Amino acid sequence: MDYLNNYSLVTVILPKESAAATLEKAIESYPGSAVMLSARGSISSDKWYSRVFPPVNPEQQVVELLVEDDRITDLMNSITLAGHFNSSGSGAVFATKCGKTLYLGDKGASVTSKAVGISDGIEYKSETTTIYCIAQKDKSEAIANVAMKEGSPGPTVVFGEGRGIRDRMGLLRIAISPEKELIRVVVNNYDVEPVFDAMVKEGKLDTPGMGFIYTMPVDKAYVSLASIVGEKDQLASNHQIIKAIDDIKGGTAWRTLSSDTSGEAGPDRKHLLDLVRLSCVTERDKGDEIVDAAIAAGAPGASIAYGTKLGSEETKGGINLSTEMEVIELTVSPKAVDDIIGKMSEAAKANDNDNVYFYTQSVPKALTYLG
Amino acid sequence: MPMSSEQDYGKGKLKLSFGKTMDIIKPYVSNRFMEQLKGVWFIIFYLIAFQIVVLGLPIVYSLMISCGILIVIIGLMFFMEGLMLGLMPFGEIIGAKLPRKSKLPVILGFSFLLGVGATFAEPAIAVLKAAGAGVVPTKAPLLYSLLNEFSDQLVYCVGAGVGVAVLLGVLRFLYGWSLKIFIIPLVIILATFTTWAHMNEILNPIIGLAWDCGAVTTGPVTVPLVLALGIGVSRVVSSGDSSSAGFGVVTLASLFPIIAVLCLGTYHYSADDYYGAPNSQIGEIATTTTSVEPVQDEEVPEQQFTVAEFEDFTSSGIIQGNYDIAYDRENAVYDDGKFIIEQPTVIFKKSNKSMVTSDVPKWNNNADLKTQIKESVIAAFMAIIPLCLFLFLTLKFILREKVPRADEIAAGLAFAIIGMALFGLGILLGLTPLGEQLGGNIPAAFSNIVPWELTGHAGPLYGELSGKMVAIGFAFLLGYGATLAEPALNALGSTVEKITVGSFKKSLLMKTVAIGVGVGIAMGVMKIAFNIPLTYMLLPPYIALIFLTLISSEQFVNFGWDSAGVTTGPITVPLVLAMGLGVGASVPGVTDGFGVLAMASVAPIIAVLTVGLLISRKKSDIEEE
Repeated sequence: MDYLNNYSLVTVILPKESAAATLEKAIESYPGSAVMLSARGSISSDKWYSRVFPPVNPEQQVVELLVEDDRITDLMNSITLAGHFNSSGSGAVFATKCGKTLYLGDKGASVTSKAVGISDGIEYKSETTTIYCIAQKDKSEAIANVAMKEGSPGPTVVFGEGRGIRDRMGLLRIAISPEKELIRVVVNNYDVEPVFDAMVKEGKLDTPGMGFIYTMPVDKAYVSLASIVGEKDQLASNHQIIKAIDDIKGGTAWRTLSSDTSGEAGPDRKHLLDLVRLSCVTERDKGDEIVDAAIAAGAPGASIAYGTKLGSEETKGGINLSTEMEVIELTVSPKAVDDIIGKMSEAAKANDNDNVYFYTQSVPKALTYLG
Repeated sequence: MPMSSEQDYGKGKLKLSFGKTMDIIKPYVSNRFMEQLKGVWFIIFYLIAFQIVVLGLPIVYSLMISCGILIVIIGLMFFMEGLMLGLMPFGEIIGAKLPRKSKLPVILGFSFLLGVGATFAEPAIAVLKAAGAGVVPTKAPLLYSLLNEFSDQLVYCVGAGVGVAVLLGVLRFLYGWSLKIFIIPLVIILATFTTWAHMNEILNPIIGLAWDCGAVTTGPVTVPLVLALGIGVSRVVSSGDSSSAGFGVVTLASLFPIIAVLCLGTYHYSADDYYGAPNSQIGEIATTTTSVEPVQDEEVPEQQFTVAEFEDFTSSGIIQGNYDIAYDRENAVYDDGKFIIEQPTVIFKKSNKSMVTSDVPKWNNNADLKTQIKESVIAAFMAIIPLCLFLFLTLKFILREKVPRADEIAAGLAFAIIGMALFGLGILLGLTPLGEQLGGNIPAAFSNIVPWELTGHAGPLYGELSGKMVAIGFAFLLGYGATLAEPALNALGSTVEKITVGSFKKSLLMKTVAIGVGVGIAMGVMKIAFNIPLTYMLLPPYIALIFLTLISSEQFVNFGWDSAGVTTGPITVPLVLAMGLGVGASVPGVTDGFGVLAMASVAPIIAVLTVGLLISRKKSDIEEE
């Protein structure tokens, strides 16, 4: 396999109403690998009436692009400036290094970004981690809420489908909903432990069938998503104060672990260490065989999110049509990854589908029910 | 590819023991049952409590009604699952494939036919026809003619109206036009037309019918299908604002039929061929109506008291069985808070109905269970099979696509049919008699009636004014509860949640709409109880609506207006119409019970738009901080 190793995945989270304008302003031409997913942001909802009349969350768009390492800074600068990320709640952009990247077909041109204003003052954070959680549909709101209470910025939630054992049950599968919600949150390395543990506890992720959670290190991030609002008693919330000190000290190293909030020792959970997340992107409705092949090759299951391909819009009789894509995500052991990619590629080629690309990222820590 | 997927898996199909299978099925069924129970319990509990506690009357046929309610819940459970599993994915696939695979004229032809077909399938259309049976030809000749000799034309008109609406709605999806540019002109045209019709003595009575036609066309099969079609289109079409994609058709399908019916009425008015007009094709009509007015009850000659019964009456003062009372109120005087009629002629006439009856949907004591089951099953097949066949043929021959996950979709469609049949049966056995009892009995709060299917007199329980207030308060909670149980609104709520990736919760939408419907129905009852002309009740809210629509965001305009179209479904309509007619019949001078549904459509839009404006204000507050 001809793997490429000079790519990173850049994820952009934008408010829905300004997403199109921001992207238009920041990006000249899209790479062959730009997928946009619809998402919702999170807001904390502990008002007394919110049980009866639940609040309306902000709508967001998530864009995932595979970008050559030497183009990341330009792209992130343009997006940060075009999206006015210096004002709070305006969005986020972060880059995660890909271990292996593989295009079955043409990899397309590279991304080109537009110069937007002066990018000198932008400071990216490096000590951050993303936590991904795949949860049952009705649990995600609560999981997102505890993450925010532990100090994370508002998590972003995308609808997805789970694949795996359910598909082998014949028509009985209708009794098990495939609908999942994929929660992603970018936190300071310091906050990873408490946020991770709180999410596991709230989502009961260590019990059977409840979901899966894992972390991925982030190389570079600018996160400006709304965190908990409405602490009216204080002029600034504790998190805002801590964040301000972080900025002064230039990092989170000043915080000592002695002030660890998780006073009561949690149950001894068995974490899975050093896995790999394998993502595979192809056209919608062409992914079934690829997923089947992955599962046959030993992958425990897959989650699938649906979106549209950016930069592929065509106009037909005045109607703008875009191509639908599916993003298949599997978390596997590093030893198995080459074999699984091989089997998935074969399955795609067998169906004359070369509009497929793969990328892997390291997952230092993961947790699910292990039996 | 979809069918073979399960065999392709490396480990093959999973063999599960019976116990394991049950472990999977049990939570699946119980979760869905509880979900429907949550939607339905309020309205049931409330109806029963109101009858027993407030009106102090027992529930007649309580065993049958409780069985009926259980069947309603099971039916809803199957139907909703069928929608989610079969009907909606089916619509979504077509919506996603159509724009790419076919030319614009094909898409538009498909949309028009879908609209027309959906209207014929909609069971509520038949209900509306039945509602017209109580119209007195001499009082509202044009209305009478439209519902009788021109009733086919009426249905075609409504069908064409819905067809045009779906066509325009799909065009709107494709080009990303704002819904506002449709709503504002339509509402202005409607308001002018209605005002004009209101001034005209002959056209005036059809206003209620026209507006109710608009409300009734968008039912539990059409709405989910059209919404799913829209979701599909929005997946591939990137023009415009995708957060409102899929919406708007329901709105247009509510507004166009009103115009169509008003036009039909105007046509017959100008052609002078309605009942009693010079060009009428039929002369004197034998009274085929089962009228609300007891005096008109001459068509059943065998219904006469015997001499023995008369002797019984003179000795004991009790009349056995049901009877009608007629007395002239010409020399009635109002004196010291009492109505006094000196030397009245009171006529007791034997009847097989209670005094206050509604003809919608007729609860027939004598019809046996077998016929009812048969009718429900046929209705369910009629509502679902032709439409699905149409969709299937489109997918197969126009789009040349296979049905993905065909087994799931087939199971879903089977569930939908089973659900709809059970649901219809349950409504007939449980909700209709319960609704009719209450609808008939609620005027007991302010006037003298014979309770439904009971002998003897009841009421007035309260003074006239406070009694009417009780009736209005009752109407609010009835509207609120019935709306929460409405399957089309449930589907709309799920769609909103899906389109916004869960930002806008289903429960928020449903509760907002339910409150709106409650207010609307309360106002509708007020209209009947105080005999306020419909035009005065409809115009101010619609003017407020135009203003709210202009200042609201596109997304909320779509959600709000579509909610209005789905509120009037199989649960609300029988309960509300029964009550409207019940109240109408006991207030002198009220021609018909129409108009309540139209009121129930206006108020929820105002409610949703108001919530939308509150949210956007709160949002900007946060940003300012």
